[in-house]
Amino acid sequence: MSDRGKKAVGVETIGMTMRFGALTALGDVSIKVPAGSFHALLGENGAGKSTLVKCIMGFYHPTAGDILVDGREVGIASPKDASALGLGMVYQHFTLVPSLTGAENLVISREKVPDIIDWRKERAALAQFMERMPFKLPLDVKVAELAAGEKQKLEIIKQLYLGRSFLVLDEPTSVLSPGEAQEVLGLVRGMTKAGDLTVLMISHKFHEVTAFADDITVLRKGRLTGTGKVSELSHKQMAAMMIGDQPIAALDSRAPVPVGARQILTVKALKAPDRTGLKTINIGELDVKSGEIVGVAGISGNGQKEFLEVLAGQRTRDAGDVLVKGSPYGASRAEARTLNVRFIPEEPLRNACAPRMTVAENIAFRTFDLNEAGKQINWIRMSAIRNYATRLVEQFKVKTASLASPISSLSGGNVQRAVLARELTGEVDLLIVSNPCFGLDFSAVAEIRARIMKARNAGAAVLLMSEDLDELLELSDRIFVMSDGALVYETPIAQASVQTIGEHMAGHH
Amino acid sequence: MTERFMLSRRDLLKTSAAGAAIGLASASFPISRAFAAAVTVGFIYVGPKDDYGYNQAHAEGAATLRAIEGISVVEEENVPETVDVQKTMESMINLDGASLIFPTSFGYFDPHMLAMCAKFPDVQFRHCGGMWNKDKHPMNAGSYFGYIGMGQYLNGVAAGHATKTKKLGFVAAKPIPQVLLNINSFLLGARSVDPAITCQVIFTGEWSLAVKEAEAANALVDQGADVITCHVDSPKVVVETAAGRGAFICGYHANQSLLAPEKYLTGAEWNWAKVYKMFVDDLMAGKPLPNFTRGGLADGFVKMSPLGPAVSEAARAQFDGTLAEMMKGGFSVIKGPLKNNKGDVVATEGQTFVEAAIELESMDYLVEGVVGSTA
Amino acid sequence: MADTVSSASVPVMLGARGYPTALEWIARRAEAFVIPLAALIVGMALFSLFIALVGKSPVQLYETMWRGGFGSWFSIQNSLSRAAPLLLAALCVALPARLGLVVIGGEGAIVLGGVAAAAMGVAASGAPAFFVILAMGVAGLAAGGIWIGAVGALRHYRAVNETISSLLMAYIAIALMNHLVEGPLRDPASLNKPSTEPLAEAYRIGNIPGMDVHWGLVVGIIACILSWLLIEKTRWGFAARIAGGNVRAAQVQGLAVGPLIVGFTALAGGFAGLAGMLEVAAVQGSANASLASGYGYTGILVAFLARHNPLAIIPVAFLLGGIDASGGLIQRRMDLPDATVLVLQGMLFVVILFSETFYGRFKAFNPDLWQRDDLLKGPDLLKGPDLLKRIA
Repeated sequence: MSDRGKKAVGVETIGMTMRFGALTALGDVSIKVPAGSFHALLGENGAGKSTLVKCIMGFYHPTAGDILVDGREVGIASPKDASALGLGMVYQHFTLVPSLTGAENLVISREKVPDIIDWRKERAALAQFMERMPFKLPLDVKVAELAAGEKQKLEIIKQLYLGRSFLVLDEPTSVLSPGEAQEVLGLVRGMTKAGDLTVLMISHKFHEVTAFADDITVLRKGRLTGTGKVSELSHKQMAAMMIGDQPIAALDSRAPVPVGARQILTVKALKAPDRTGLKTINIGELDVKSGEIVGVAGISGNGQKEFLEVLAGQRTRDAGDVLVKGSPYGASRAEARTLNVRFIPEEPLRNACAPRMTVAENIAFRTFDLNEAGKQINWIRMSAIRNYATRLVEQFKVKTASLASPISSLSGGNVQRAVLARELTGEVDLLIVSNPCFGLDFSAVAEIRARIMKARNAGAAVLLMSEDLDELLELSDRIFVMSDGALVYETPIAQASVQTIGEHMAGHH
Repeated sequence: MTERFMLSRRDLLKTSAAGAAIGLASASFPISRAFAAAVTVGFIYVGPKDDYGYNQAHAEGAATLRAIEGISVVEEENVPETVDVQKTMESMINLDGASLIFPTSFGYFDPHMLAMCAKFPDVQFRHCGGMWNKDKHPMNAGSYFGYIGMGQYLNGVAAGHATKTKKLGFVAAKPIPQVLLNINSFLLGARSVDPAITCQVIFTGEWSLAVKEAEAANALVDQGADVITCHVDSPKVVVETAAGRGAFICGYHANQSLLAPEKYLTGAEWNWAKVYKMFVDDLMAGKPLPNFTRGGLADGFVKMSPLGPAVSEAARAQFDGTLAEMMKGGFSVIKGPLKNNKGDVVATEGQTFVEAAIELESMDYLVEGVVGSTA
Repeated sequence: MADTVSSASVPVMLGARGYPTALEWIARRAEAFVIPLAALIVGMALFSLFIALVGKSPVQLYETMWRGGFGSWFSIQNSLSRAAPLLLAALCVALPARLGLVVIGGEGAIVLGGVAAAAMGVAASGAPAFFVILAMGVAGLAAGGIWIGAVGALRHYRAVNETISSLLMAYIAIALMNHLVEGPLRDPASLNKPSTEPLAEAYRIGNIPGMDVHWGLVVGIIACILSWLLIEKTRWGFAARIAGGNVRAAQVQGLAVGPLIVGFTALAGGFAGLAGMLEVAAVQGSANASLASGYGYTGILVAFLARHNPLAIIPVAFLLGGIDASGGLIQRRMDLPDATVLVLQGMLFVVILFSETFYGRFKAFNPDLWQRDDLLKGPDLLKGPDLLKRIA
């Protein structure tokens, strides 16, 4: 266990260039992160943010360019070299061992762990270390029992414990509730202010950047497109640097939900086991009317996934009813077809596509077994599939090298566009959507939200589950909060407050 | 090797020019032999040639033919009892010019060898197993086989002297007549030393299944057996496993003494060299080959491994005495009064069955003293 | 839609990035030929090293192999005879593989298909040949289909790993066959090689006219073509490919994944059972232990080398049949052990599996890579300060 006496270090890159074969992932990028500053790295997906960070952390060997730590040029050939210089990284997803306690996780993460661990000595040393930390954490509890915010804090503490004084945070708040995000970033901010830590944070969220960062650097398509002090930049300027002069889709204006709109989805007294089989999810009553978007908020892992799986027919239910337009709905292909139900799961490449099949084939998943008249056919026709896909690709602006490209070769936004093209074509009465914009870039997000809103305005009932509160607030007509497997709070959008919703998400009520 | 190759090539050109010439047109091997091979003989084995067992016994016989001037031997191992063996025979005929073929595995006969007999009436086929029947099968086919029961009887004599626990063990493949006769002979040989001896038998169900053979050998030793023999294609695993556990060994098919020099008592071996030489001599002399030939110890078809160091003087004396009596001919292993191990009489007082007796070919019982069941 | 979402037009090109569609089509198809072929050549080169290392001439080896497997009409027929059962055995692996299942127990279906067909042939003895042969085929299909279909059902409904269960069930099948042919179905006349009663001559399947290869080859090729049509051209095949590509996506589309898995595995097992029936009717004449001769396991190799494409199974089976056929000649002419051919098969298998990692890597074959680097060189990228000035 190294000592934490080290003060924050500053990091600078000069002319960083990284080529993968013919592909230039990073071209001549110079950034400066002074010691003790909180620096935000912005950019769309594929802009080169992670390439830059991986070069700094020694995962990649840059094609050209230098790295300076505290003004001195250093050679970082491996992650080991980076950690020796005090550079550390906190990943988007947790890297802790869930079955061990916080203390155990810290001790085993050290580079040199003694063969026999003297736990009494280690605990005393840990207690001493924690005293100097602004974070308070129960270190004797198994990581699996910690809340997401606590896990994220532990990840950061782990880096500090390992003696790192320059931290890269890769979208650190993507799994946290708004309250937790505020707290964690606030604490980190405090440490940078005190000069104990330098932070380079990768983020998508402008409000976090504005609230916590000193400076920003923006990348686009592997190039540096802007840098400056947060205090001198508006969100609009930051967005312009991120996406260039591409037009951003605007939402349809929200048509009012007609009085007496038809009830499309009804869920009553639904009970189903959760993933562990130990807990039950329990949806008392939920209904979604034609022409409205009902949002379900919640921190990931509170049963949203299981609820969706029940609706999608992937999980059997113990009790309760799911009705669509009054008929029982079991998610079979025939039911989905007659009742016009469409389902857009999160992470479309993982859950809604066959990655190695072509774009055209993926677009045809819903309709390959129908002819133009909508009758079932046994012999599929590739020409019909191609023509259909050509039309939809054009209509939904899916950027693909070709219809015969595997869908996995597309960017995340274009995969989602292809899925939307498939699911939003034709008559839609019920649309079930989960985290539709997770991990997508700015312009794709705007466009996809616009598509959903348009479907609503065209009369579809939309059930939107999302971990992004901003998204729910932007799109929903009503918001439910799901916590511990149940819907615990409901509010019409007009009365919705981030704070109240956040408290219910955290289970404080 | 090269010599063999070129010889067979010449034969090939002679015998089947039309078909093969296409493939050979581009080949660049010189045809420069001063003399032509009179005869090419093909051997086909179902397992590896060096299995310390059934296949090795045949391969050793085949090897002795190589020394004979004017004979060329071609061999193929690991040939399954499917269309593969038919094609192997065809290939030996078409590409090597074989005029006499020995498909040595029991399962090669029907339908594979018979199909080839019909297709190549000028080629002679002799099969190891004794299934040829004048009324049913063509004259270019034939059978040869040995009576090895007396060999197992002699194994039993050696075992009967060596055992302390009075329990013997037998690892057997399948409960078919040949195997049952070997088991019974082994026990009766041992009982000629001490009538209190019993023999436990374990059937593995397959001719070659190393894991089960090792398990069986271990199980037999665990149950107290201190002399083990077997009837599976390759006794190697049984011999090594049992010897490793400290039991004595009686061999089968071939000589396994190298695998356990201290523990090996003796073994019942095939002596195919004699049989093959006989066929080849007839062929070279232009005589018709016999269609059916069988023989036992007295005929030289079967021999015993040299007695090992653990064999006592008393054992050696009885072994030699019994062997000498057998060589005189007319010896019967199965003779009355004899009951099977369910208590039924299988041979009445005074009834004897010599090794060639037809009744033994459908044996379906284990004699009294054998622990085990045929079903 | 366009008026509200975005007015910028994004060009969509049907050929990759503007290249002619035909060129793209050729490039994508060529990959599937060039990579395995190159792998084959590399594998054979490696094997040459091995042969040179044991002191033999690789030139002579390949010449012998050519002669033994492909160099004459006799050799070609020899190879085709050996390939015939491999076609159906490989389908037993390839069809489930398209659903993402690794079934390696085809041997069990072959053995039971053979036993069922032999039993049917004996039971239906006396009926017209056409009906008996048909009934034997159906019996073989059904026995194999039930056996491997059960593996699929266990996989889907009980989450039992299909690789392990199919392998273990193959052992059970062989034991079951031994029990049947040594017990209830034994022909009492088969003393030292327990078999079922021999099939009457009229019920045997003969050779293809003009060839020394039995009709099983034709059945196998037809089965491969039908399987290809099923996978590529029917709605069940398309659904199976979705489920194989991503089972979650298939479920979200409401596809009946369970029946698909059971149906495909049953069909796969049925083909293997048919292979067993053909062994009995065209080769063995009765069911006995010779049925378990390893075709099911060689079929795994064939299916993987063919990348589970039923049409590719045909040439691959012929190739392996040829290697097998030439193995005998190599033993006889070069005094090399039988295992030599196994070494060659093993090397080819490893090299071809390794070559899987090259798919999509070569720009010539991957239209998705065409011009991609140009995207980053676009002239519209401005340095940050310039852009800021423009916004201001």
